[in-house]
Amino acid sequence: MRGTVFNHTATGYKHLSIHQDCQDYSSSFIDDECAILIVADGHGDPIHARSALGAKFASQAAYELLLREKDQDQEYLSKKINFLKLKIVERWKSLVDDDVACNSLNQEEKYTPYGTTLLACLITEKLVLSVQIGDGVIAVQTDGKTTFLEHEDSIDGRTHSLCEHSAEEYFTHQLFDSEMLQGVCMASDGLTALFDSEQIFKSSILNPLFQAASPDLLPKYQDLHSFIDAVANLKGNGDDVSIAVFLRNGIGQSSN
Amino acid sequence: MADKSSNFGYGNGIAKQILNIIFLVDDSGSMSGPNINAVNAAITELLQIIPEIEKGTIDAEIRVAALSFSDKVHWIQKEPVSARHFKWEDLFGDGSTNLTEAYRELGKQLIKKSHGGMMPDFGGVAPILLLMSDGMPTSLDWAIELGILYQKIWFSSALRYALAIGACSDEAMQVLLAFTGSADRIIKVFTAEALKNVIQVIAVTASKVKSKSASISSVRQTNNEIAETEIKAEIEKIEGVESGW
Repeated sequence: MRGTVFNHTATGYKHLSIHQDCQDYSSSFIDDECAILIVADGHGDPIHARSALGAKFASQAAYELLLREKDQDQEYLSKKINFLKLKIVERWKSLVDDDVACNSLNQEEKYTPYGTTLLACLITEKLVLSVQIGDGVIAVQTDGKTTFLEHEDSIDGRTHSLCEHSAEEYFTHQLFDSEMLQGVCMASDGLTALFDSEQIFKSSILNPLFQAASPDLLPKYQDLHSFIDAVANLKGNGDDVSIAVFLRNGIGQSSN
Repeated sequence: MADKSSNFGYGNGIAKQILNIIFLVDDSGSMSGPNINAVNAAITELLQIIPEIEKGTIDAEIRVAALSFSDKVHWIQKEPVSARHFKWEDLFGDGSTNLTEAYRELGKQLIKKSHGGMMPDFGGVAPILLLMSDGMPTSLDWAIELGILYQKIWFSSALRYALAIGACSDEAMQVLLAFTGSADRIIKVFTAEALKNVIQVIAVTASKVKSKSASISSVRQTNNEIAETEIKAEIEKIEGVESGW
């Protein structure tokens, strides 16, 4: 797969101040045939006390399921998408089940403590497939134009979660041709909450990311890495911050 | 900026979540005199204490907007601003009660900024909406416009209170009930002092509760429900007030 991927997660000020683990998890993958981006945002409150693990399990489940589809075409995936959402939820639950067994947790609502959002994206030479449950944004640059994929907005902190009953029904997805794709950026609400408009988010984050094409993307990624760390340390919002990026004009470097 | 040499920045972005308090004030002829004077005084005083509220609500910045309505609607402040920057214009009460236009105008603002409204594009804290009126709307199709408002997520998720100022008929109370969606969030106020205290209790309590970080709420009380419970308890202590209907 021609391109480069990058991901970074930084623990937010609020969690650092109470010595709580980071509740976000991000990952990125690239090989000759596809790229995969994942951001998961564990809910992080006492009711969801194991959501850091939940976010990690969400990443694993999405990676495994999306990777299996890397050779498929749009027609096949459009027919299979609801099944794929269900399989992601089932795989996440199986990973939780294993952890519950290991830790002898015996809770009526065993999935609730692991509650997390999930944004995941499969990119191949033929197509882009994104799936999302809960808040966070996925933005794409196609043919020089940056657009936000349809996303769920969290109001008063309420968002859908993998731990909900019939979670697969709350997923949204996008499936489109990747021929003109130049970049994909997904971010947790720890980043988007800093910006009250798409326009400011574009000018502050996406335009520098997508437009400043460089033969060597390492400095840009180092810059973004530092920026995300600084954002997470802001006392205003203080949420964990995650970002995952694919740029097609890159150098083929992977970061897992 | 995270780093002065960084390509990335906050732009005009915000470090805190924004909590909007939006007043909808009936400025019709029936409100003229003591009723509208009480509203002017109550909101003016609230604006003075909001900076104090903010010191205790570290997670949110409070911004205020206000719409008055009589024959026409008038934004006293359309783009929500901090209390320090809000310049309240005293109302005098004149004309009819065009609630339809007020709802229509509010609806234009309760949408995302990218679509021309005042609400954040990526979610945030649902606003507090305070409707103050003393009587029946003179516009007949207010219910249709309210139905359109209810389809907007920022309205349906808002914490909505209605203050019935002075004597309100059963018909008028039905109008307020349609707005709040709950009889518990209709407060009858009979004195200027009561109005001042009620507005402060709603604004202060709701701001403190709603600015707290929340997470998925399918398994717990929402911030609005918590705020409503706390407001109810505080309002019971105020004289010259009748809560619920």
